Amino acid sequence: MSSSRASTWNKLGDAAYAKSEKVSADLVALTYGSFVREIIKDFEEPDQVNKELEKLGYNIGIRLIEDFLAKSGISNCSSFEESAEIISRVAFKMFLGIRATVSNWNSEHNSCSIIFDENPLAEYVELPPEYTHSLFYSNLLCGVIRGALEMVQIIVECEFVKDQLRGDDTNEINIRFKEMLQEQVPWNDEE
Amino acid sequence: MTEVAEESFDFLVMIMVDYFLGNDEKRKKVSLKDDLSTRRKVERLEAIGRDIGRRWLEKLSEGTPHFSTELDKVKFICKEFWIATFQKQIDNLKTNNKGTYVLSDKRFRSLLHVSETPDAIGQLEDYIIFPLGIIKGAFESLGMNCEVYGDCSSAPSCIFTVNLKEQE
Amino acid sequence: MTVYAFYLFDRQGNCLCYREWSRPKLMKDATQDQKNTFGVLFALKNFCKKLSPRQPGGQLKNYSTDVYSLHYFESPTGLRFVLLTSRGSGDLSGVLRDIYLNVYVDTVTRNPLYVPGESIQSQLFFSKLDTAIKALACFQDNEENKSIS
Repeated sequence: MSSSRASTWNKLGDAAYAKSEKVSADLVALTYGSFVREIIKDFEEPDQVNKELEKLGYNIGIRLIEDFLAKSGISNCSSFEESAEIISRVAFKMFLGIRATVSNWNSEHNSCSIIFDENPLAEYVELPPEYTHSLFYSNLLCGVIRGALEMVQIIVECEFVKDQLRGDDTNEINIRFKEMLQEQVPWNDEE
Repeated sequence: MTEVAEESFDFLVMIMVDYFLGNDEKRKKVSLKDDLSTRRKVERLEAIGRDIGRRWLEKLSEGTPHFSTELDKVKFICKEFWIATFQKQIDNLKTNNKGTYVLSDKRFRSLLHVSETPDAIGQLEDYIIFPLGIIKGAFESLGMNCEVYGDCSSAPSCIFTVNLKEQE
Repeated sequence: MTVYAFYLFDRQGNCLCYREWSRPKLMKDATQDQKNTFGVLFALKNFCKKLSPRQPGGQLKNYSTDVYSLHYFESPTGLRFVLLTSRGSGDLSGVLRDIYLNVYVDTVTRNPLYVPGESIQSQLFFSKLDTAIKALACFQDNEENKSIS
């Protein structure tokens, strides 16, 4: 990653964040916290809760991508590598007011991690002991990333590997590239 | 206070409504208000809003001097609370001095991206359940038990009627 | 000069919106017309890319015939915005991009009542689109323009 591109994206992220109307992170954290609590009531099993959060995030991601492209002015994110940088430098800043970094690329360059120390969703949260090692409180974010990338034809899988709520030193989401979605040839009907 | 983009909050609330009321197309086309199971879902969403509103107001009013009158409390909601929650203050406040307050917001946050056609009103109401809960929770947090109704028939304008309950 | 019609397709080829202003020849079968339009543009778009001397490049923006012009904008998410106008209206693919950024995102993406993949029902979208189209120089030029949308 050339540093000039990185700084261009950082600037884009700052500009998009500066331009947008804001709400207090506290209100968002309160709302998200109450929401997760209700989902836990409904699903109980931490694995199921994680899955549901990811699914809900996906539904956000498929919409949020349009808003992101419109506000950031980015018109092309054709490679997985570039997309990972754009997510961490532009999207995290624009939507959450924080900057993340990309690291831990594997040798095939089809898997990396997005790392962020601050997590506005998890402000004031303490997980009950029975969930500490099984619930990924912010798993919604994995779904948002998967949904958003799918809309630009990039199929990925995401999962949390580190979470400060579990006592880890930072937050880390692993993204694995699966495939580029090919455009479908429109209907061949028989008339 | 750290801030996040309003879109993040809007998208979050959008899927919350879908989660609690069901996100099938049917819901968005016909109003199912009278159905019992729907009513329970609506009540649950409103209760979550109330809980958030109560705690949110507590945070906001930290360090604010004690309110001396009922009207001071209502004014705090119309201004500080409304700005922090919906990015603008109430445009007009009226009262009959018998415990009813009418708050008008000409451009209510939750209704900015929907159209004003009458046929959508049944579904528009789904999107003010949660904010109505937040508003009710805020009033309760100031010791004012009340019922709050919202009229969104001329979206994006919304008129809130707050009826205070008799205090024992 | 004049504006005839507007199409919006998603990546799968669903027609999310069709509006027409002064399109003289009414289509007999609107659904078939939309299908054909999507199919032909799909082929044309790929053809344009293939012919490009520089790769990546060769984005379809518009084409002209002796009678009309077609303007095209595709978002990175595969939404296709199409505008039919009379000849000589200049390059309007930028206008379509503005419609995506300022009209679509505001009234469709952020509209909780919109179900992704469904056709657009929002009157707010229609009225903002109408305003944007009627503000075009090539629309205003035509005195006989009557909105039939």
